[in-house]
Amino acid sequence: MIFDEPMTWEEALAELAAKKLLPSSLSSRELREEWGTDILHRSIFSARTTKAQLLQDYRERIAELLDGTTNLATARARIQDLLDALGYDSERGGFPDDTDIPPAERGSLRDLASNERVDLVLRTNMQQVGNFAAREAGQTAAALYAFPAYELLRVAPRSVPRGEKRARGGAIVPDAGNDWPSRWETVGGQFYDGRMIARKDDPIWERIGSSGEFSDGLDAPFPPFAFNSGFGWRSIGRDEAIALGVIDEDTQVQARDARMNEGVKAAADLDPDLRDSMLAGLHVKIAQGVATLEAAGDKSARYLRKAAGL
Amino acid sequence: MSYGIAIDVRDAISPYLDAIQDGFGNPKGLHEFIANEELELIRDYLLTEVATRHKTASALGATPSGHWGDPQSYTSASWDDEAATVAIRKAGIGRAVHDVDIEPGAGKQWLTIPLIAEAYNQRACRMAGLFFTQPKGKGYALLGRRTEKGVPPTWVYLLVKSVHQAQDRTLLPTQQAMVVAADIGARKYLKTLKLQAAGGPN
Repeated sequence: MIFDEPMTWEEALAELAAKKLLPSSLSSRELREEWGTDILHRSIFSARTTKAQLLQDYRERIAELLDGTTNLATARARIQDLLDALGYDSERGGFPDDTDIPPAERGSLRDLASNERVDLVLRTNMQQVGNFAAREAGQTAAALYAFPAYELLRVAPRSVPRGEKRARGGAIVPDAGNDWPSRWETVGGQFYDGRMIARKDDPIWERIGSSGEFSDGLDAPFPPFAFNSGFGWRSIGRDEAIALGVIDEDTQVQARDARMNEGVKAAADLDPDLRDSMLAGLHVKIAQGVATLEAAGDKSARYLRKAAGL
Repeated sequence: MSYGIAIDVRDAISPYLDAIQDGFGNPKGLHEFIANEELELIRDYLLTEVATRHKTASALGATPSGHWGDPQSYTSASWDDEAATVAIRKAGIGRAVHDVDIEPGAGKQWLTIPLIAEAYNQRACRMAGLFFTQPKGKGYALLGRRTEKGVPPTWVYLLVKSVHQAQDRTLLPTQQAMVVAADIGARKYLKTLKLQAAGGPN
């Protein structure tokens, strides 16, 4: 069949609704080591964030951002207001009832209320859901034929891009080997006229974001491929892909599956305390080894159900 | 003899033409190709023409907010028998088709407009040492910061009751570009019909 049904935006929002919340006092690295990347893909999380209420608020703001009904600055302001209301103080070790969170310098990335931190969580989760939906929609036979490849390129500005770093004293200096072209080369990517382009079914899209290859990788076969990355995709049309030598005239690019929430059973294996906190705050039902977010009466869930046409 | 040859040719080409004709009777299929072409045109335009505009940030010497960046993540296409549709889910896109009036949100009195780089993309309430002043008889106010006695203050934010933004048609590609994209999509659709009819890729 040439005309498959694509994944709709509503289905992508449903994927967001199905994302579990992962309140945890662990750092990003510890989270990955403890829970594995599979769970992190399917969860809304923020390192050292112990409040499920905060993550729930993030979920609502991300849904609004995905729907285009708010902007990043407004969403950030609402998260910061909630943090203030919850008594969060980074320099005193987090929330009033936190006992094992190390103090963090105000305004730093480890300060949950800093602009950089809130933006990072909002952007990363929003871009993951949005790009996941875009990737799925780009997997129909028609889309694979008309736009068979992706280019990896800068899609958003960063004050200190990968490949550069801030030295002591504030000066921005080169950070050799860490830039995206170097990473592309490391995982065997080919350059076409100096551009990082690969077929949609090229396994490089799994490798470029691999945390096994790069410690900041997000282990997703779609952008963002690393924390706080400003690099993303541009679709390459068939004629351009042929002209550049990415494919031949008769090449048929194949679909590759990357669903976020299929067969999520490991969620039920969460730490009992964590599971209890989720159950208490979020009406998570665990049956037959599968965790389901019920959240009846919850504004976000209603919104998402409505958006998903349920 | 020549009559027989003519029949042979027609028999060979009939299934091919039938397949193409069937494709013309499938507007949903045609609309999928058109929708994908329009979607990628709009994504390219947003990425190369809109996301690169940093008028305010540049004027202040600040890092751009990246509001229009990563259009893959906020655009999508859909199609049915009636139409091809591209959705752009981004706050501010409405300005492409109409004027926009922005007013303070619930419980807020003023909109803050940054006047220095440090204030760009930051919340006034999180900046230390600001003082409020409202010139008499004016509809605006200012948030400033004093560094030393006797030295004029630095004005950090302009506070206004509303902002009017005129329609900005350049947030989207031109109508002509979108017509061309639709044509390209239709041609690609026709090409796949031919390939399918000839037993090629489907």
